[in-house]
Amino acid sequence: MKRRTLLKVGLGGGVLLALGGVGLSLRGPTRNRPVPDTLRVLSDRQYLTLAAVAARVALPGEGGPTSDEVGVAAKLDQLFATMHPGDVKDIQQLLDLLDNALGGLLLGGRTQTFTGSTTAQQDEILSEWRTSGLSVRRTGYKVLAGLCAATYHADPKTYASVGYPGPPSYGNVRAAQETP
Amino acid sequence: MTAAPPPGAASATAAQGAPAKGRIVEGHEVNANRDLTCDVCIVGSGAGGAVLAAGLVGRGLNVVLLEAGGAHTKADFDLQEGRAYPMLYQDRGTRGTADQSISVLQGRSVGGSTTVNWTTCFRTPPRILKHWADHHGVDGLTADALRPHFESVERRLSIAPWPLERANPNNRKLLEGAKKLGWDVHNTRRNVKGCANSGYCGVGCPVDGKQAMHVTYLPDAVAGGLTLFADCRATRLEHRGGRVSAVHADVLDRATGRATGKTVRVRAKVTVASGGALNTPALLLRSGIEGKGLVGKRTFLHPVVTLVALYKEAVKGFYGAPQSVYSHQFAEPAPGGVGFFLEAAPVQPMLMAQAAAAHGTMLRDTMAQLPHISAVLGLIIDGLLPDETGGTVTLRSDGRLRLDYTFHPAVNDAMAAAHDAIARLHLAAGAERVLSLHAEPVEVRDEAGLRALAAKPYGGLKHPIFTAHQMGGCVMGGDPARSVVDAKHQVRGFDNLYVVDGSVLPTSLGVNPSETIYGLAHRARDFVAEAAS
Repeated sequence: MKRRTLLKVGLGGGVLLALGGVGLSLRGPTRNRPVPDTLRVLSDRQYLTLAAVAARVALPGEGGPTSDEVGVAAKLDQLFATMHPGDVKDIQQLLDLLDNALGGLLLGGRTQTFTGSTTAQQDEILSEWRTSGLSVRRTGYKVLAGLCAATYHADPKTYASVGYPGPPSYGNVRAAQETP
Repeated sequence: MTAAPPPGAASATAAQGAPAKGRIVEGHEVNANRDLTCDVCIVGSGAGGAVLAAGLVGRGLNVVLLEAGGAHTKADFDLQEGRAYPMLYQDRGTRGTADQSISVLQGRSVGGSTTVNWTTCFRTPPRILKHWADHHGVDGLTADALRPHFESVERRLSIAPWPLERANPNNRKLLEGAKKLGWDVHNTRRNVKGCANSGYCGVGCPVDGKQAMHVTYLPDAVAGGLTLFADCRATRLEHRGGRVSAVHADVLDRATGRATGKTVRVRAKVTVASGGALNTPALLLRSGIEGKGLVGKRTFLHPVVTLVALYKEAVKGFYGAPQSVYSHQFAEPAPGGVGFFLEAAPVQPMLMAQAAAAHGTMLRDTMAQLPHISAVLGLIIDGLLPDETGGTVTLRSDGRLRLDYTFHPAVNDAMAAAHDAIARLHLAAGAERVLSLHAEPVEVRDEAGLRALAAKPYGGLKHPIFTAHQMGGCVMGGDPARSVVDAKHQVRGFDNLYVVDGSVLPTSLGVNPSETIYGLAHRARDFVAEAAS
């Protein structure tokens, strides 16, 4: 979105906010997948948003698992628990922004939340974020897509689907090295 | 300290054939606050801190080293990317510039980045040393003066040419393409001994073939008496009147990265910051040492670009030494330009997926070709133009390190030129097609594709950019108004504070930086020892 367009939207946004924007901003997430009860950092909504992003970022290759089967969002929640709280807060804010219906309306002209969008709409939103004129969205895309793609493809269950035999084992070499 | 044998001490015993006099203390062993005195306190155990520590211990000095990362051995390295990157890299493998335009690969463990680097070693190019003398007033850093230092570290680290016959197919594409185009191309030198040629240098060597710091200089130093605190993050330097009186550090829980509440305070005659570019400037800034506003400035990154080259035959770039071939064909551009050099990269799935920076069918279809992908990198040689500012390290309000990078127009031009060169090289080597990593990729099969590639935008967030080489931020120089440290690594305005790591480099190097840092640290041993004696 160009800066001028954003300014126009910003002006109109005040009216929208008055007419019902508050309702949009409070619209809840769509619970279309179970939320694990082991979350350490993410709220339920943040988890659902991240899982929805992961599902569109990491499409399974031939015979490969889905991102839900890999547990991408749950794994990332565990990773976030070991990161600096400030870094985690940044990620949480990104997820909140992505699934905020009012933000979607002002920045992308949509009234649905990300989790409430169709998969085709979600793909469009991700593409828009990737090439957005707003640095926060370009940066957000880089962070979220990168984390999801890396986490998915780090899982051994995905190896066969990309033709990766996996790392070799050097246990025997190490054992030989350690033999007096 | 407990009596449990630490990993480092065990390695030292094996390496030296005698019981170690020092030891590695891990975070879980620190059950009470520690207050230590010593001759020299070093912060950081990477290429700079490790070589320095061994040299100082060898001179009979009492040395304490603080390392934020964990102490790991080959037994910890299972070659799974998903485990290795969070364990062995800064910020759990997620470090980047503030706008995420550049992803930062930087090691964090005992051994620093040497634990995870790709083993490529070069002496500092003479033209760079001349540039430092001519433009930054650096005295005493000539090829002749550095030679004995490089020779010494080359012997200790078994740095030697890697035979081309052992180059993996990915590196052979670089070799074949460059040869067909008549470009400069050579085999690299690597710091390995008994290398298994696995290709997993970036996730920790499983057989200690890589002669990283945690299997060489650090065991040497521990054998001689070094006390190394792992999982121990230096938070600030206490100082007054140009003297550092203490280093304050938090002990970390390795699993969570959180402070345990236990602290270590080290009061030393001399303090040395060796946390590497980015972390050393951040430590100084947290300590209120700004160096007249120069600390954190002039941070250079060798910004890296790449394309996905697809070959009919399997390349299997995930196996074999990551870097065994390089080309400096474009390293020395016309005046006013910025050069670049070409090297290969391992093509393992997590790293590849991160590099692709895509989603959906684009990512899936790219990853489905993994065994057929060849990856050649273009590393931009930043920092040599007079008006280049490069990166800047500052602190966020919560104390976190923040890195920003300004893309000079000539750097963007160099990234465009690197794209062109990499695409041409792969076509010459027989690639069926080469894909750019732009949001709307260009598919290059011929000259028309190269023209389309040239028309794409280049710069931050226009395409993926990485860095594995962080340099500068506490730059060395002859002019007190333009440098943080002098040619002997002493921080200006301080009697007993030194910086010995990649942050002193006034520019990027045009080659992989590890050996330059080893050599400078080897040279700095005398300066620091003299100050501590």
